Amino acid sequence: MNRLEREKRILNLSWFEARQHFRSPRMLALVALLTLFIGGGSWGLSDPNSTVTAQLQMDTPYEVLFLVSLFVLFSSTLGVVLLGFDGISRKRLTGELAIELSQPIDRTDLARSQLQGLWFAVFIPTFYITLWGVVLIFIQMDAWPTAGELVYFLIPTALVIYWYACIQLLASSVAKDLGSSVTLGVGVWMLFTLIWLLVTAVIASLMGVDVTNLESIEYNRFSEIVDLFSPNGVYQLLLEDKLTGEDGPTMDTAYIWTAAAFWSIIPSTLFLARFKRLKP
Amino acid sequence: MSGGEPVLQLSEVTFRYRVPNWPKPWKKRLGAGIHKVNLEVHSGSILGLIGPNGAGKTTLLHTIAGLHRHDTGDIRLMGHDREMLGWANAQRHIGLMPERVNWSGTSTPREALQRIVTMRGEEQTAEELLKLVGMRSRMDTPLENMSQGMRQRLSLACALLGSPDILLLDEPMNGLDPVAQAAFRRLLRNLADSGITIIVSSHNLQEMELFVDSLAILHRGQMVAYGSLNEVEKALGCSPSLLVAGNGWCPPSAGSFGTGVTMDKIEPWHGEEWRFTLHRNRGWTGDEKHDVLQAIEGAGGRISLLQTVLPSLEDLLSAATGESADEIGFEIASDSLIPVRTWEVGEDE
Repeated sequence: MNRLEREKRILNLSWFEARQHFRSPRMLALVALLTLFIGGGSWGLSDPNSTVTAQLQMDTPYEVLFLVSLFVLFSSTLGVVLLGFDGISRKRLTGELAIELSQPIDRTDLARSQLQGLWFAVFIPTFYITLWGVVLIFIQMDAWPTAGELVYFLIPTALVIYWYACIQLLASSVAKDLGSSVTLGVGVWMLFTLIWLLVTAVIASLMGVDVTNLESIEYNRFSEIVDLFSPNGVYQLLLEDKLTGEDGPTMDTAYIWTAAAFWSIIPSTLFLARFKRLKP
Repeated sequence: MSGGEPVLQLSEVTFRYRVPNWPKPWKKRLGAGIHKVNLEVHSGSILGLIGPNGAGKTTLLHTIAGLHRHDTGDIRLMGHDREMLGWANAQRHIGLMPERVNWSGTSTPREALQRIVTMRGEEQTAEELLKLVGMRSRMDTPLENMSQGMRQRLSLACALLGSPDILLLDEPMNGLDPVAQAAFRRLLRNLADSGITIIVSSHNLQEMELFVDSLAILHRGQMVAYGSLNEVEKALGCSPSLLVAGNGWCPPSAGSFGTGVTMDKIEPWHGEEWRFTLHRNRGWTGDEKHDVLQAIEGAGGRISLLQTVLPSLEDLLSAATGESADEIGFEIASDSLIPVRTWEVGEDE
């Protein structure tokens, strides 16, 4: 089997996986979440009368999209948890994993198909609902983001969903039962989404950074560095990088993209390595 | 495969699970597994793998299927070293049906099977196989709505994909009703007659006896007996016994039936006045059963049941290991592998 045929087979298997997710009752919950958060965020934040934060201007559609990214972080990454927390552990418990692992297919290919399947299942609805959100922004602001801005918004969004898909499947491959799958899946999501601010503050105080003023430049710089170790942080920095003036990050763009490259390589490599050693 | 060359050959195959060694979980120790298993299976034969829970049946099947990489020993498939064949080539020779696959989700058997077809890179369509395993009318039923019997059939269809030379079936009769079990046995016999080699595991000897050509008895990860049922019984000195029940005159002792016969205690049974079991080292021929019948009925007794009873798995294991049934039963609680015949315990045990 040549390289092209292998890739075609992985793509076919990914679609099988994604279709299974699309038809699952969990997808209803995900679509509802995305619609409420991304759609609602786009509509509400683009309202000319709304004032969300004094520091951030929302004069352009991209600036609104940047703020909507907070809702993407909350809903799409939760969607990955929702669909992927038992991606491997369920198959292990039902016995399907033994059947799959005994087939004459390279385990790396099989792992990639699981990963891509989960990624498709979350990114595709996120993509469509974001497009719908852009239409809502246009209705409110009478302005479209440029094609470049939209593509720039979608690339980090696709990346953050991919990173979470890797992390979730890795956690799921470690879990031996449903309880530990939920704990690991939700735990990782909570760490990066809800607890990271606390983690940043604790590390800052340990390193002697003043944490009494969270608006200070010193703390901001420090939190940007800590954010490189969180997928959410890197996602935010990537999007922030497109903002101009004081709204942009103080960090050099190269560092942010390097962190993005690491987040794209390390979790997926760990998952593929784990999958290769997986026992049914 | 030509001549008498085995399709599958295991030589001194050992695989041990690595289990966390508390309080240092990173420092794994050797746990249960299979120990120095030797096996030769020929084309078109059905081998029954039998043993109590935790004996290592599933581990052995998974090791043959390539899901566990064996620590020592050799596995040869179709005359070639498994490692030399390469992963994909080796797996094409093997079809695995794991124990009680609980197929779930909203997809259908057709889609689930088509997915495995894609994994194998086969041209075969899912429909053909689903028809073969009797799922013609259930091809588009959601997996989550299927009965366990249907799920078993789907697992068998997965194992049959790509016409493998060796079928590994782990407790395939679980969840099947007696009618489906009979149909399943016929299907296995037909597959074996067409040249497929089948290894089927079970903890039920009576069930195995109906369709296997040879038996391998596993206990604590080791093969304690291997051969045809007769050979195994002879090797272990466990021959079938004769269960006799009836009314009226009852023989007072085994002496009424000639030399070399022993008798269990006589007791009432299901409305009959008496029941007892006769044992003989070499089993019972038709003529000998007739002699028993005549001896009792000639003396005024009336026989309502005269049945040959195969030795139970417990009997065979007790004979093989010299342990009592209680000791054998307790063993499943342990995850360590203690050699039955040899006592080669490593330092990392």
